[in-house]
Amino acid sequence: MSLLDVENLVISSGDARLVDGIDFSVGAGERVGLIGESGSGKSLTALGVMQLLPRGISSTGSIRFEDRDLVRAPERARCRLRGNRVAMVFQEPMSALNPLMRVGKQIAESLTVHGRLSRSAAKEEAARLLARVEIRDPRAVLRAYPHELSGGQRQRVVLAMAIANHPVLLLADEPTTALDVTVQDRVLRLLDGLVREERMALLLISHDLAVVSGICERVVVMYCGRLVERAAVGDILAHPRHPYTAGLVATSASLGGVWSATARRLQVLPTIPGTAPGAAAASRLSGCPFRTRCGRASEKCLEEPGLEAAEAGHDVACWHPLPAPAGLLRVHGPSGPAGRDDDVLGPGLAGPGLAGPGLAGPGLAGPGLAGPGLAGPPAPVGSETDGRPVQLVASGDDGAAPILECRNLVKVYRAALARQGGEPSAGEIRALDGVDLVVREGDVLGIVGESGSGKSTLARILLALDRPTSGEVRFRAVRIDDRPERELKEMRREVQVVFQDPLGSLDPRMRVSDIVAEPLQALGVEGDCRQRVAELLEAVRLPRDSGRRYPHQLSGGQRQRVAIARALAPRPNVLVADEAVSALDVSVRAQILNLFAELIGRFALSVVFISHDMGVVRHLCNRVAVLYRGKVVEEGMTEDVLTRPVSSYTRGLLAATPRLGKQVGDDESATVGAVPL
Amino acid sequence: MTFLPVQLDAITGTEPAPDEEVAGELSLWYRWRHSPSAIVGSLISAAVIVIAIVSLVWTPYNPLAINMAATFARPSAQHLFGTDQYGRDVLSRLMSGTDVTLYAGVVSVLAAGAIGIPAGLYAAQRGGVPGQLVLRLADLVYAFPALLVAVVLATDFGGSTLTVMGAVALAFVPVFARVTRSGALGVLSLEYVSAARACGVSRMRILRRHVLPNIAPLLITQMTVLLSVAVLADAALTYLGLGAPPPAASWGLMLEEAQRYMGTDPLLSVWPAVTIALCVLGFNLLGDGLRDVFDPRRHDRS
Repeated sequence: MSLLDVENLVISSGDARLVDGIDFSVGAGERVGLIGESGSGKSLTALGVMQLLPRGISSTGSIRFEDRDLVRAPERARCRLRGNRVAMVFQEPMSALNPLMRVGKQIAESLTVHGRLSRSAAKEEAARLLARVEIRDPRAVLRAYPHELSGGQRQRVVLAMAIANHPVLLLADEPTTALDVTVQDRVLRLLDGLVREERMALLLISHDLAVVSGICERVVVMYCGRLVERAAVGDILAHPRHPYTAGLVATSASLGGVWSATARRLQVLPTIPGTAPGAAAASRLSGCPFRTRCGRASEKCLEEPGLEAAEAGHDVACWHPLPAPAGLLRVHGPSGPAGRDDDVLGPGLAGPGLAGPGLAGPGLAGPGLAGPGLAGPPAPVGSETDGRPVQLVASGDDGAAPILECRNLVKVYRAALARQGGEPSAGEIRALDGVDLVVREGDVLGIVGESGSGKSTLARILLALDRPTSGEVRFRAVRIDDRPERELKEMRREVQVVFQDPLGSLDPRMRVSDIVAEPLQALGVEGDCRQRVAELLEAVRLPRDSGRRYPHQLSGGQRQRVAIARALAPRPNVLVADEAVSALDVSVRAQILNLFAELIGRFALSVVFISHDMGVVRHLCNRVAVLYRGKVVEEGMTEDVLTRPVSSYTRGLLAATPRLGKQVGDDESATVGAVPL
Repeated sequence: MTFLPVQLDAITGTEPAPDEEVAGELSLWYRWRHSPSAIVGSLISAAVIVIAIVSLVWTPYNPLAINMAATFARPSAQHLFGTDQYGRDVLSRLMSGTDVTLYAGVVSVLAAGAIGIPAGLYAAQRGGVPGQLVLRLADLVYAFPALLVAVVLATDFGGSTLTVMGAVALAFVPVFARVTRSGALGVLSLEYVSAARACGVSRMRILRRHVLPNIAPLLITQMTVLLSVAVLADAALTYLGLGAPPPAASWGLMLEEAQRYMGTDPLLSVWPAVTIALCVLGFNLLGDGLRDVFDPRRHDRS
């Protein structure tokens, strides 16, 4: 008998079945990961387990927790369990804490509400709990308000509240997604340690396979509100049976943040074509919800596949699962030593299920590639690049002419309430503190940094959208930082931008064709505007009729394609991309990265690619600069920086980057003390 | 085993568009139908406008025609709302008053918008000292009582509908300036404006193409709410004798005159009072409704 048994859980809003009959269990002390992309229903499942569903959303099925059916139990009984036997940690720690209540009081409240402790005892216990979640100065934090703490500290406080009553089951919904990589690593370590030491069971909900594989023993994969596969972590990574899972594993593996000699730069990433239908649309879809994106789909897939055991402990809901491994290369799960990055790409990828030529890439050549072949013609991405790395015009060596450069850039923000990790300069934030960078023709320069490193400020100054406090920016050797707007026309035409949030960077009241045409009209580019817009939409592989649509009618990936088309409209030479793939789901992210790689080659673009993600930068960039608190702490060729990092910060960043099959706290990153919270 | 591609999308690498029905449920029409204040508000407002237009060409009687033989008539089939102290038909006077009130309200709101909206856009776009200057100027105007303005105008030019419009418009200018500025600041901080700037789009064009269309719902809502305030202000100022002089058929004036005959015919003051209240309520409900329709999130949160 498991601790938590979820059987045929259906969560619906009106007619739409947002979660459609899923079954899984969590044993006592077991760590289970629930994987899914946005809209897969994974968060609803967690809320369903807690019976905390929003109004208008109902659930049926059975959720047995400690032999009690939570769906049928009276609300009073459920209240006694919540925060007591079962605790939950949410993604956004700021909204999980009451902003008007001191931290100590909030923790004490979670202790007294179940009537276990008196007030004074609760205060003592709160301090102990904060020490337990490795907060350095518990007494001070007890008196603090949530806004006075950093993101990592807040999540620790939330964790402290969650474990206050020694729950037997902890539900964590994307607990580290809002955090920086290095902070995420430490919170995950803490979570891992707590769960082991307190002998709690953990249900970890995440979109990130690497994070889940670092902590969990078993994985449940959800797609469009349905459970598509569940197995042990090692099995999922080594030989996923569902084509969707296989695609996720392949994409996640090829974007791991570690340099490997085989995974070459700009090589076409394996992707899952298309995008998941919205939850409401998926609920009307009969049959296998993945069939529209699946290379293995057949007529049989119009019927809904049931979850069946492919082998012991490995269940899959697919009519045409990938073949079982034939005793080939096997990745080591968390039970064994961590597998090397390239090993992870085991024979599981060998299956024929993935559309797209990514499998032909040298880094992915598993032994089983000789499958029955791809369904249909290869994706267009591959037909042009043929799976080989795109050739660059210039390799970005010192011989090429500088196209965009900045010297000694300083940007100081005056802030009414400067509270940046106890920095001494009251009322002043030095977002950039003496940055020198050179982008040469043909360069793809990655700028890596965490939040607060000044990378977005740098982007805005390079684009002449903001002015630096001091220092200079030159475009083709001409200073642009002190010029009035009317003298920047030429630079505007040649330097274009793609922002992070594809919805926020498109005017909601303009049609796609008007959005793409805007720079053409503003810059007076001659030629047939409509013809050019059609060309651009074609170049970013948007359907021809998408010009008539509004941004809200497109998916996230499509919106980012529109933003890219707009950036390409005036035929720029330089592209500045600020976290351009960070807001996208894993499978869509790979598509957009492939598009970037293709366009860089096709239009001979020099690129400044700003990201917090080492894996993305490794994939795309020939040079990397690491930004930390407004300073460039390391710069060099990507391979050098990733394999032989000089600065301790870069080492910490690399070590903290989650990787498939790498267990949390499994390597040298424990020694990184230089990175403050 | 054969593998048939079920849908072409699966192999072209492009993504199918998300469901269009979802977008349909979010349409303005859908939200209008589900907002009681929007429905009731637009019904009342439409009635007011129709009556105003009808009164231009037809009223049951001439609103100014005196009939001393039939003063203080009770409501009857001939005179639905009765007659006043000079035997004038109350219904006809109310109808023709609608026209005047609506005209005064719309003109003063539009005039205030014509000055206040550009001022607010300027303040948002420029910032710094010039922006602050515009804001402080708006504060100054805002602090000056509209009633005093009306008194001053009436002393200089005599009481008239124009006086009322001038005073009300002046009072509304800073309201428009502030609402426009805060809305525009919000839009200007969004990434699509940054993207437009990076594309070399000029400031004027950004204001025209990106900012104005995106704050239009806000401004329309604001105008509707101000219209109800203008109706009220018009009635109040006319009541005080600062607006149209007798014998004009104006609601404020009717209320003022009827008050003197409270003892003789209390109904006479009820009709204009109810009319003013209904009209204000209608525009107010419409404003609230439009807010729901344009910005459903605000509504959901409360």
